[in-house]
Amino acid sequence: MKFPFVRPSFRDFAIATGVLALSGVLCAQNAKNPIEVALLRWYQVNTAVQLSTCSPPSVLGFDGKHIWVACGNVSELHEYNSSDGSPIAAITSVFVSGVLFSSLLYDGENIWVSGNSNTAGFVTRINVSTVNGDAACVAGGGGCNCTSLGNACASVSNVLSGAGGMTFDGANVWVANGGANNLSRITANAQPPIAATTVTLNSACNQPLFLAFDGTNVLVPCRNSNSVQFVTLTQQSLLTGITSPAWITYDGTDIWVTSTNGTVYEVSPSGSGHIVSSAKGITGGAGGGSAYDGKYLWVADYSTAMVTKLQLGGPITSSGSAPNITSMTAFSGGLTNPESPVFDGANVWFANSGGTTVSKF
Amino acid sequence: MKVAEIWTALIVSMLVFCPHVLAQNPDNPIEDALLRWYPANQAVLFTNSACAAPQGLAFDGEHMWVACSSTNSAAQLWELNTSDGSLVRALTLTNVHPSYLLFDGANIWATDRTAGTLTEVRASDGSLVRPTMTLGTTPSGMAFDGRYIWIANSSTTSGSLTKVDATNGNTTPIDISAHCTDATNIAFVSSDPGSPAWGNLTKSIWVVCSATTPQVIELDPSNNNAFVTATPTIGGSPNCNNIAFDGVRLWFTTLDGPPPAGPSVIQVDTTNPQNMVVATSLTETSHPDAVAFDGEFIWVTDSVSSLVTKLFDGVTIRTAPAPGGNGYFVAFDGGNVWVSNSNGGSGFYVSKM
Repeated sequence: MKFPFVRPSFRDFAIATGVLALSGVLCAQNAKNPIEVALLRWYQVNTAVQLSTCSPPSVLGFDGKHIWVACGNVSELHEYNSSDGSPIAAITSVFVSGVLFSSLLYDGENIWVSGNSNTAGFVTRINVSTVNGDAACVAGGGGCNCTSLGNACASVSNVLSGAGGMTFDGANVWVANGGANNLSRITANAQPPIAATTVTLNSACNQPLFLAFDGTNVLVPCRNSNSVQFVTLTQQSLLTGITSPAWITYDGTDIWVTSTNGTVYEVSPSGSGHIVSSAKGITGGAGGGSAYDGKYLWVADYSTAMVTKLQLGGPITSSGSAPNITSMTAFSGGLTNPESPVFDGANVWFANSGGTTVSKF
Repeated sequence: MKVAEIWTALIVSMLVFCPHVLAQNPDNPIEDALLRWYPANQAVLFTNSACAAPQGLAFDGEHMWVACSSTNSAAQLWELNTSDGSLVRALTLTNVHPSYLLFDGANIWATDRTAGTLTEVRASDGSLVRPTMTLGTTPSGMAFDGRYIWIANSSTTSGSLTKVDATNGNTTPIDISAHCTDATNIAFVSSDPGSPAWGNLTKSIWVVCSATTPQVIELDPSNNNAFVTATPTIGGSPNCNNIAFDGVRLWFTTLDGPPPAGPSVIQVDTTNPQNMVVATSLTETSHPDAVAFDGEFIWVTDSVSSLVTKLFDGVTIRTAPAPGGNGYFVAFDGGNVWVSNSNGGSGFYVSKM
């Protein structure tokens, strides 16, 4: 027997639609991300997929389509399709033996590579489209000398000791020099020979290791100074009270500073920056890095082989007494000394630096 | 109704529906980039006689995989560029006729409904990882929980699932006959602490049961797959080539659902399974089949006509014909919805809606 469709009242209709519109809070992923929706990615983490790569993978980067993996022991750079992990290119003869990679950065056209060889820091710019499949660049002192590729690959001079994390402000690449307690600034589209400008930090900054950019400021966590410096081309300011800041991530609104002691700080970038709140709870600490995927902050701990997934609640409020973190959940599974997380638009990747794989988590 | 209530209701309704004067999801940057302001693409059809009877679809983040299931010719898996439909790779499978497909982040998994087996193929190079893993009777829908592949085994006389470890292919049969007969599809639901599914679970398995008492049941994978709850009856002949999960609700179709009965689309609230409603009733001659979610709309295929129905919050926005004919399976690639067209079992017809 069929019943005629009963038209709901206006009130029923409005209430029902309102409830439906406000009820989309259950899922474990970002339901607003069309690729995650298309991938049916409704699970918390993927512990089944590890892709073999060079040994050991230590640093990851993403160029909008491909995942880049830098492997220290073999001084190689490998490029993979982020969708299925198929290999695209391998750069195997650019970097000197025994180089220690620190960071990979994509500027829209080039992959920038920072690291150290013996005591010398280096930064290298590699044109993505030109070098795909081309390993002809000749290695040299200071980490890389790729003059045989002309402008496709360029080493930067004047980079100081302990070249670490990098960030891009739209025109310049900034490099943290942890061994010299300063920064290097490089014009991204400069023609070789490329020279870096040393940026002295006004306030004492002991061990700047990683950087981020919030649209205005280069953010410099100073690990041994318990502070974060805000740096622009024309001014600097100092934010104190952050214990052992290791990694720093900007989510479009807020700055999230993770500490080696497992504390996460929520920082407002307004003015010269201020701490909104802090909370402990990151499993093992933040020794492996952090990444934001549009909804969650992922924090890796190198030593415990754990990843903590922090659900961020929303924009910061000046009166907030606790971080806008709805939940912290720790995961393991297939991870070996995870570090250098990157987000590819749908999945978060970790380098298993204690092994020979990367996890598509 | 008080004036304040009227205003509140009006504002809520406007907030919900105002964006949907647009035909597509303006919050989706891929659709923005594609200038995809039309409600459905009725012009694009990919055909090829070399691959017959397309069924299951799976998106791997870059390419669309299609199960060419014909038993009259060499069955294949086809990998297509989503941008232009060009063929990336065609894999011939020996003694396998793939039907349902699933991507786990690295591999494509395909069920063979006739042989009762599962095949795993590496998406990066098309190599065969595991040719045939034995499942139950008529394996149908699949779900991935981040580690295991869950498969519903469809049999009108029993109820069973198979759990497959995606890292090594080990299979575990799961008897659910005490609560479910004829499992036709399955979904995995995971949620953050503070917003759990029914039973206060942050991980749960939901199974569409088609026989005896047709219903959807919830299982707890953290507690030996214990039965948690069941929905009210979902009516007769549920069709579940695809069920869809939108982050909160499950969507699927039946031929003769609960009142008002007839062909309909059902939605189940995973935070309260008793809150199961007929989202929309379809025409009596329709045979609603597969369902997919594109981030904004629910798309429903019809296996006896080319009409594809598009819903927003259970309300039919419009119907449009798929250029390839009768609908079969459906999948979303981040920008467009793909429909495999059965078309009598001959030829390759896949519509990009």
